[in-house]
Amino acid sequence: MSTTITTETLSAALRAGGVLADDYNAVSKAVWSQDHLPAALLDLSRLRLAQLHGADSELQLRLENGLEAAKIEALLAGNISTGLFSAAELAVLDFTEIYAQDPAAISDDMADAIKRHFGEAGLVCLVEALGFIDGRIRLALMFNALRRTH
Amino acid sequence: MAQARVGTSGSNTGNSIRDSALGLAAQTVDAIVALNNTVWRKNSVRLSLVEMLRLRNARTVNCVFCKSVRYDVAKQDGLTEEKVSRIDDNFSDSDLSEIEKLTLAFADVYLRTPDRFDPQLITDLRKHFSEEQICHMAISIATFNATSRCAVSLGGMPESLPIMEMQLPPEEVNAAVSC
Repeated sequence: MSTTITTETLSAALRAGGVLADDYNAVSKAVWSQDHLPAALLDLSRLRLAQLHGADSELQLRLENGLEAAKIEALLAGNISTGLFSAAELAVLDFTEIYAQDPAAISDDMADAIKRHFGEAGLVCLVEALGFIDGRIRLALMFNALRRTH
Repeated sequence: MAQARVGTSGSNTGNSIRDSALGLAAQTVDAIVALNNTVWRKNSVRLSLVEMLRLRNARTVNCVFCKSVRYDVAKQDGLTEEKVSRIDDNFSDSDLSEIEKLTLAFADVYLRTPDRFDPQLITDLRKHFSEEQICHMAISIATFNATSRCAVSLGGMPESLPIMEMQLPPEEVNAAVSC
């Protein structure tokens, strides 16, 4: 591997983990492919989490899930009040922001906003997705450092 | 106790993940149950060290449920309450062993500064852990962190709980609580 590890290429970096890695990757696949939250919506969260981690290579990664380039550009510019984003997207971005800092600080209003758009199962899927997407960003950063010290 | 933000699946399988709110997400719960089962049953790292990773995460995230649990398999592997009491921010100055301190330092990189992984720590980790074991520690802490954050995010967390010893469920039901 010569390129920087991202969430998309992390599986290769974890190969020595065998069945644990297989099962970890399977959860990641499941959270991206469930029916309650569109992948394009989760991609907004991925990009925001990557911003908060300063994960530059992750920020360069574009997934093919229908997320419009204009929304990516606006998010990365810190300009989400452009009218480009739907109420559901703004609710997810708001939730992501607080989740990343301290999940205990998530308010009932924020959780209710997610449930209004996606139901209880959607809220569960969102917290699962944030946990495993955030995890892959963290592990990608760590495994880049591990690889540099080989 | 704050009110939980979602209900549960209503199932009574005896699997604490399936029977929790995570059971509402039918398309992800099987994978999460399988992962937790694998983390505890197929790990190449000593389970007392895996439990130290879990408890370091629990204390960092402040998940009351997770902090209260002690896995019997970790106790059988030598984890004592005296050692558990050392899993605080002063662990590096404690009488924990070098390998235990390295395990907790690894957890802290994941939990606090994944973008700043000290090369000396990496060198020290490689003296004690194989590549497979480092991968397993990474996946373990990532799993514990994701699931404990789920628990905190979904609300209903009590102020405190007594310490509870927990057994791994029988393998055939494919269940283990992770957070």
